[in-house]
Amino acid sequence: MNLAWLGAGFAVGLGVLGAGLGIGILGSKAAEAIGRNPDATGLIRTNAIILAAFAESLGIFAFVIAFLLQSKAL
Amino acid sequence: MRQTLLFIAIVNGAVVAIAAMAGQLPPWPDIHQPEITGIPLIELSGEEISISNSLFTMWLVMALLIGASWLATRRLSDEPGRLQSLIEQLVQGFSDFVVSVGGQSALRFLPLFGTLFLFIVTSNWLGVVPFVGQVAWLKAPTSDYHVTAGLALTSFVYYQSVGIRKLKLSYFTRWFNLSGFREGVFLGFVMVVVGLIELISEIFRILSLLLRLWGNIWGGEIALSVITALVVVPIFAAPLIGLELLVGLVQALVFSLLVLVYITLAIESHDEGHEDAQDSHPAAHGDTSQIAQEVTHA
Repeated sequence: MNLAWLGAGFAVGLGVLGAGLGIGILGSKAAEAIGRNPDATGLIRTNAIILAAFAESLGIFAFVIAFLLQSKAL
Repeated sequence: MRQTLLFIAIVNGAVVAIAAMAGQLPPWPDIHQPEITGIPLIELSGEEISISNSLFTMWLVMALLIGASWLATRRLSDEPGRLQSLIEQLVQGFSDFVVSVGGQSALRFLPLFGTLFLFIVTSNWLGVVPFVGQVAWLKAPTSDYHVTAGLALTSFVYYQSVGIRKLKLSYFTRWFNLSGFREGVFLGFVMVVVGLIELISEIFRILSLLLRLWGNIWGGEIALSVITALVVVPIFAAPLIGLELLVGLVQALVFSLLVLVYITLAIESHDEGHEDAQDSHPAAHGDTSQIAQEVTHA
């Protein structure tokens, strides 16, 4: 049993946890904002997509690190 | 639609059942992990310079897009046919979107935005097409990080050059900003540090553009192959294929949108911080020349 696999699991799990929380908060606020001001739907949606991309890229970094660790363990 | 899915499911199930009866099923979790990068097909000069399968597929995508646009614009008429009206709606949608993001002046960058979007979305959707990624010559281009690195570097060079051409030397004040020293040593020091952080973040922009697209598409391919191996009958992975189509569309949109946003950030002059963002542009330019004069005097 190689510890790098454990590290890979933790990296992807904890890393994606943060990104998921961020996107969740962002999505709830964006939906709230659209509910309050339906006229601005297009603008809010565009901004939400950009910001979700920023939050998501951190999760993707964790994912890439996990795969680097996993290939090291082989 | 439902009948087609049912037909595919029956065929899939029949194939698996026949294989099971003949004892030809592979051991259960039969996972084929997709390659990180393309495999060289024709080596021009060692392994380093070669034509890989993702490069070959990229040429196919380019041929497809060029051919489609040539066919659509070959005979332009006032009463558009089906292909022409489709392309017209597409271009109209793109231009509306670009205007809503960057204003009327951003229409200059519509060709770049549209080309990036169409190329990336076609490449992403190739990832879920059968045989792509399974036979030797075909692999979805965006699941090879060299392709996404090329796209990210090209966009980086493009938006920097657009910014420099628009703002000339004052473009560099966003990184090396000495104007804060007028208000005191501490503020000047803080602004210099902030500029340096901004300079480093430019590198992370390339890295995040590269990794986001590649990680999503390659990760999606891994998820697809793992789920398909687990459920044995491939059609049960159909919901995941739908998810991958959505992810491919959103990632293409995110990539081209981020490039557009970076361009609009590069061509706007923000010399005195964000409080002056509402000021008219001539005033901002006046400030810039004043700062430049002070810097040269000091």
